Amino acid sequence: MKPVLVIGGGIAGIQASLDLADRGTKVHLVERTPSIGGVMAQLDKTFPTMDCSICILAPKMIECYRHPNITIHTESEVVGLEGSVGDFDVKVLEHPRSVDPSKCTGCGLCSEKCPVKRPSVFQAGLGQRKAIYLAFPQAVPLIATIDRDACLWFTKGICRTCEKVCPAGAVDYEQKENTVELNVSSVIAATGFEQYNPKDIGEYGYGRYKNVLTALEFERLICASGPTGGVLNRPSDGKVSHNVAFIQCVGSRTQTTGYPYCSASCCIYATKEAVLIKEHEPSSHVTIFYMDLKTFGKGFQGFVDRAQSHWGVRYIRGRPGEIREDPVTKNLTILYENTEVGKVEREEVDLVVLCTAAVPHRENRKLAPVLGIALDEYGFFEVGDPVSAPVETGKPGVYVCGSCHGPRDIPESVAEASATAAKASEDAARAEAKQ
Amino acid sequence: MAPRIGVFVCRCGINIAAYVDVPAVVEYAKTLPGVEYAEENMYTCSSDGLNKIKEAIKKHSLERVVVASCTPRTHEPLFQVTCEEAGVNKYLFEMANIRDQCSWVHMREPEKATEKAKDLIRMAVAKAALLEPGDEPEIDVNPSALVIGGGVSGMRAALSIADQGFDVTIVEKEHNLGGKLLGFDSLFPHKQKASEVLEPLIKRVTTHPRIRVLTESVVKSVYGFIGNFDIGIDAGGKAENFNVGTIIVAVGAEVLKPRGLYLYGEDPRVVTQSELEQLIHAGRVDAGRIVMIQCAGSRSVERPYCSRICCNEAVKNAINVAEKGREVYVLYRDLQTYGIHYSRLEQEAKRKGVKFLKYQAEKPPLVTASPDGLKVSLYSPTVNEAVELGADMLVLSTPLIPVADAKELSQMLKVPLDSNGFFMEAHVKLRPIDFATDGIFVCGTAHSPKGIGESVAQALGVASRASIPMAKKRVRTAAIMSQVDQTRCSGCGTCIDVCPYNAIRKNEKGLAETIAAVCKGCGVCGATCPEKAITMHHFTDEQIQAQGLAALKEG
Amino acid sequence: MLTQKKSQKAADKVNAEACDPCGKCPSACPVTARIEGFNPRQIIAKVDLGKEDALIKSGVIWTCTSCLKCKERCPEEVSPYEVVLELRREAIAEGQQHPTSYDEAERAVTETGVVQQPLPVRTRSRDRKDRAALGLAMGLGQEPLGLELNQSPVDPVLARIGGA
Repeated sequence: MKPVLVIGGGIAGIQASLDLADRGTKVHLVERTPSIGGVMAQLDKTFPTMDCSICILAPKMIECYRHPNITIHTESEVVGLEGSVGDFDVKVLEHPRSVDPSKCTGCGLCSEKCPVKRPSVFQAGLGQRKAIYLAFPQAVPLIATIDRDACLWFTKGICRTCEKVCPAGAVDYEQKENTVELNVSSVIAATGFEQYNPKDIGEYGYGRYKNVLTALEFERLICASGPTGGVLNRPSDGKVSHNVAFIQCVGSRTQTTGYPYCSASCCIYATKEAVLIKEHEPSSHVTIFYMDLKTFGKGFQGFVDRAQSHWGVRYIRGRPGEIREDPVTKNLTILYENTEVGKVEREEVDLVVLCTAAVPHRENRKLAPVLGIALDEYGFFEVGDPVSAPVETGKPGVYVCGSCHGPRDIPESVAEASATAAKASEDAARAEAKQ
Repeated sequence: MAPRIGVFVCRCGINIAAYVDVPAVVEYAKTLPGVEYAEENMYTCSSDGLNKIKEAIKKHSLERVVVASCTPRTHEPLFQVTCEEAGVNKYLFEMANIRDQCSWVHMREPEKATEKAKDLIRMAVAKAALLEPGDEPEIDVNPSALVIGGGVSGMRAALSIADQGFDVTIVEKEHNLGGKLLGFDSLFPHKQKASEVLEPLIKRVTTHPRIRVLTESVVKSVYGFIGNFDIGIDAGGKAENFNVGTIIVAVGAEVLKPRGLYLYGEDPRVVTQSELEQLIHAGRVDAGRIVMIQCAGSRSVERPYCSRICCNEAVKNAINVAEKGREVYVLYRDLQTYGIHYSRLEQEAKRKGVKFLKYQAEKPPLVTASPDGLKVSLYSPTVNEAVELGADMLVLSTPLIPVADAKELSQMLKVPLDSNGFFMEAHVKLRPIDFATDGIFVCGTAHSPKGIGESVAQALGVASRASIPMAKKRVRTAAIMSQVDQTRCSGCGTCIDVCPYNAIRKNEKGLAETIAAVCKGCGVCGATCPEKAITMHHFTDEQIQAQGLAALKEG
Repeated sequence: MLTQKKSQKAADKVNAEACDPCGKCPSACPVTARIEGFNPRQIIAKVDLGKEDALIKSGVIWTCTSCLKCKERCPEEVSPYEVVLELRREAIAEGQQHPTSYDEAERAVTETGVVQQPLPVRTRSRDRKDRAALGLAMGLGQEPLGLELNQSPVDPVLARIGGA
């Protein structure tokens, strides 16, 4: 039986890989970044159970790594696909991490001594990492990577400190990129999504006002493994924030940004983040400014009800027209209309969190032509018949799951991941029957 | 010879280390009886940490391993497998939770938290010294499945399982396959005909060589365990028994018909969305003005959940009827037009002239009837004033509710229902379509209200989940189970009565015997047995007593 | 009272049905914050539901300052300003007059260079200086359109954020 290719190592890609591997199918899991885990690894807790996100994810990540049937290719991309279902020839380009994976223990000494700092993508830009770095403490594989654009050796021909301090002799500046050729029976795309950058919505001040953050930045701030150790120190002055406003639909439900759709999980994750603030400090004020409260998922309505009745989270139906910064205190004043009564009000808070649109991953535009599948008008992978064939692209043998074909939450992504595993297994059974 | 114990104390970044003096705890662990080796790790669960455990086992010839870190709920299997890889039976491993049960809850008292961490480790070490290796029984899996419910979800799951090479029996209580989709007109988001979705499915299902369809049939009894379920069916009046390896619950849901709500059941001009659906399908809608009320019977005290599809159903139906030049108003609380397709559907409805008016939960619309029409009065925040609408037809968007026999089925299968009566999955995020009971899965609206596409995705999902044990042909089950001492058992049968998993039965001698593969080791039988004839492996009386005594000892 | 489908002249000319009532336009609007009864979101909603007659009769449509902030902020590219303009055209067509303050404002601009009685000059140290003493234009002496001459101490936060 031939292996299956899974593109994307977030929760959806991980679930699809495990389903296939557990039944005996070999899987090649290709991940673009240095570690699998995806966005779920960056979250603090998950709604509505308030499980610590990395705690429930890491065991699955490790299972993938240790599974005899799964080969993980990190820092890798799919650059070629030919053939048809049952017989795809795939080219995977493995970028060099400049570290020998058979020697590196993930001790982190190299990173400690490296003199070059860069914004950390894992910390949503709020913290820094070095030119040689481990993606995050629970990274899989836990192997260091050199960012060659930042490294002094690669850019200026000096330093090489990491090589000197590495106790395992794992640094390998000569490492080259490598193209792996695979023959697989089916392909599963699980490339996830990105967050809209709200700097173009000028009236909310993102990028100009220090205390206006995106939801992902907030997750890192409130997370114990984040840049402030989970204390809600606001960016301008480090004071602990006690009065937070969440603004929903930033970029979403907006014709003018090109994302007129609802991003499905923001209302409920804002509620989760509000509850996190209250758990950290029950006397905090938290207000969520929304348009329509999306409570359609299993357990969502109960979660929102408890947020209000037990935690005292305030919900105001009104999308703010403007946010202004006090130049002295750096507090934010929100100008909004309480549409339930038709009254314009203003509210001063010390931190604003913008819940931004879930937008297609920019890599989709490169990957779609390689796989020979279509993108919709936004750049998500297109599913031709979302009713009868919700994980099929229309190209036999190529399937999609998770947010790469539209915004959705973790339970839906996980169920879809299993669905693609079923489709791939059907393909394999058909191929076997032919022989 | 006392077994050689190794202790690994995790810093968990700052989660534990910021509140518990980890180095002091490590030093303390070294003083405990039987402890040959102790170390601290930054993250014991990282691949580096796991390697250190394996190295220490080899280097110090460790025979028992204690990890003091987070919760066994998420991490015990990981550490157990690590021990096995180093040659230590996984049941010789014990965890002390010094995070969730210590550092996280005693953040303001670090000295006391450190003392408590020492206590917890002392207890774990005391138990570890008494642990015995365990053998995990392997059982054969019958590579066939039972699908309960022949609607879209059940059929799609059955089809995929069959296409993957396994035999399937569908048990459907009605005369026809198709479930709730029968009689539907069109489906959102692309308004394809329901028949276009159903007919190919039914055709494939009824002609597939691996699928057996039993209509007008219900499940009467379920015994056994994963790989070996004995099913008793009433097949149109005839009793039938067969054996399967896995079970899929796809029994769907019902539509609430709320008698008395907004004059429903009292005035024939008030209908539900599915009734409107049937009227549209039959071409029998002649009302000039239609008002729809969302959340009719949901998001309330009795039903505190949102039924997910009613807003989109209303929008779709509104588009369908508005196309004939009607006035259509949708009265909503929060419009659940989530995602790309439904957002687009909402825009289409607005372009076609459908009007959306918000109403407030605490001030629901008032409906009065007269011979010339219905009148709907409400305060609408959309215009911030009172609004009165005349209507020739009032359509209530009512929620999906659990099927009438959900409770009976849940008891038969020994699977739980949630507080709203829908089937409850093993974990809402990461195991949404598995039950905690191995070998049984759930998909479609039996799990929670959802659309057809979402149901089909879950149906395919369970097809994958169920196929895993069927493809492997064998499953291993945990060694944590009860064991009945046949010389002490009096045959009273109390343990059988209290077992929640049907995992104990009377053998030929009339004495109790555990079915190893099903037993989950919950301990209820052991606690209940009046003869003290039952031993709980891995949680023996001696082990628990040792932990208790260790807890009471001074540090 | 909505019983029949009324003429929706204004609604036909602008995409009022695209409004997803969010509240951004009234909270951006400088008039909504100060004048009772003017709310661009409500205006759009009422036009969409055929209630424009009430709006025209109320006279509230004349208080829009044409700043276009509503259109700039609207996520759906609805322009409440265009709707107000359309309603004004209908009002005129039905024989309504524009408010006399418009004429006064026009006269003030042509004669003095300012639209209305300007407020005293506020300095950085937050005291006020008389305009006449500084040799600045004084207007015709008419009352400002809906704005009181505020003599009370200014809230420092409001002053810093530009007076909401």
